[in-house]
Amino acid sequence: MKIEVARENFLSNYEVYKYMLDIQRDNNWTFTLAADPDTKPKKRKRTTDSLIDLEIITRDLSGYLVKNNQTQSTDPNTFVKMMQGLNKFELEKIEKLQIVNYLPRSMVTLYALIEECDQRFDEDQCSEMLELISTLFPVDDEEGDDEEGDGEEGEYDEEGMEGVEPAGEDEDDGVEVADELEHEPLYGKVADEDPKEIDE
Amino acid sequence: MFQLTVISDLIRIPPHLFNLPTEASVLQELNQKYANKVIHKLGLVISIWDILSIGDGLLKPGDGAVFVNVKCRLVVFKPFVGEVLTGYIESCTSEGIKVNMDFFNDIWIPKRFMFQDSYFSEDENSWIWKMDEENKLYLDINEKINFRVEEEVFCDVKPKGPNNSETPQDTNKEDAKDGEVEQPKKDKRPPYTLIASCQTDGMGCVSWWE
Repeated sequence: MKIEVARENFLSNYEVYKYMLDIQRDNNWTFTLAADPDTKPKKRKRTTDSLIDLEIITRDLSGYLVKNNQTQSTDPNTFVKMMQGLNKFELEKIEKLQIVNYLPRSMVTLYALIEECDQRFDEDQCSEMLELISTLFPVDDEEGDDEEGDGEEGEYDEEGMEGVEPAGEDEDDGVEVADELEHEPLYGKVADEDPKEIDE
Repeated sequence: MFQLTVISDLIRIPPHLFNLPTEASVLQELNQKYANKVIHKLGLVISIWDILSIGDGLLKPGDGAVFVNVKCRLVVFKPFVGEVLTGYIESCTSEGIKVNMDFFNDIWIPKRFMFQDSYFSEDENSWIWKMDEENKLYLDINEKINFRVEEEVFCDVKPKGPNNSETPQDTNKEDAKDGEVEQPKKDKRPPYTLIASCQTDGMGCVSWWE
């Protein structure tokens, strides 16, 4: 085995979560936390006992991401606006990624995510960042998702994530979201269209 | 937290999978080989992200299987130093706190990386942070806490050779498991451990800062 490129791209937690859901759906695994209620239990056509490790990690990781509220889907335009907003400040790529993952709502959290925040940015800039986050991602986490229902997530963002990729490339500092367009279809299915059909 | 890594590998596809389309069988074999495994100095592989290229199948005399050169991308869990993560407290000892995130459980916060003025209480079996004279904050089991990654420790877990006294080579800079009871078998050291700290504002129980 040879590692060609150790770190080609970063992935945000939401993308990984979405991918975990795809894996579960492809393999017809149902876990109580992240189960898609529309999937009918089909007989497994292939023996997937060999994929027990994948099943374990998928289940654990989806459970973790759900528990930590990392599963809020993002409208691609919101994401682009967020990146444009954050690009005004001199932030490292990993700092921007952390902000997208954690969506800090308070100064304390923002200071924790960004190194030497008080030295690099003054208070106005910090509050600007927080305002940007709260306008683009309104706090309705506790009440429930206003933006989309659970079943719609897959369809809504399969297309959405593709839109992010070209936009992200325009900004030099933009976080490189993983390249959805190159995502090889699994098991001969086209990745874009099927989720739509299943969800509807 | 997660990154994409490009790797190339020679994958063996056993004959009973020949009825599947090449991509499906290659993907299955790759996942079987890499999912939920630690690659030394790289991180914990979650799964395959996609396949970039599949070479032509090669045959080996005496073996009915096909060998293919595959180039693919893996989703790897590798927090960078200084990243803030959230996890659950698994256990507290006088030497520190063991934290777990459901899919990754080897995170250790040694006592030197705890808050100033925090101490371990034997009776309650938890760490207590004395913020000021009156305020005492508890770090109990199953609390959700934020912590910052300070170091990553990779330990090369080799299989035992014919000479049974072979010990795994450590790439640790410091001894990760201060408080742990010595292990009867050397290869019980987890291949990938994170040393974390819980010292600055925003760290510690999530409920304190909300």
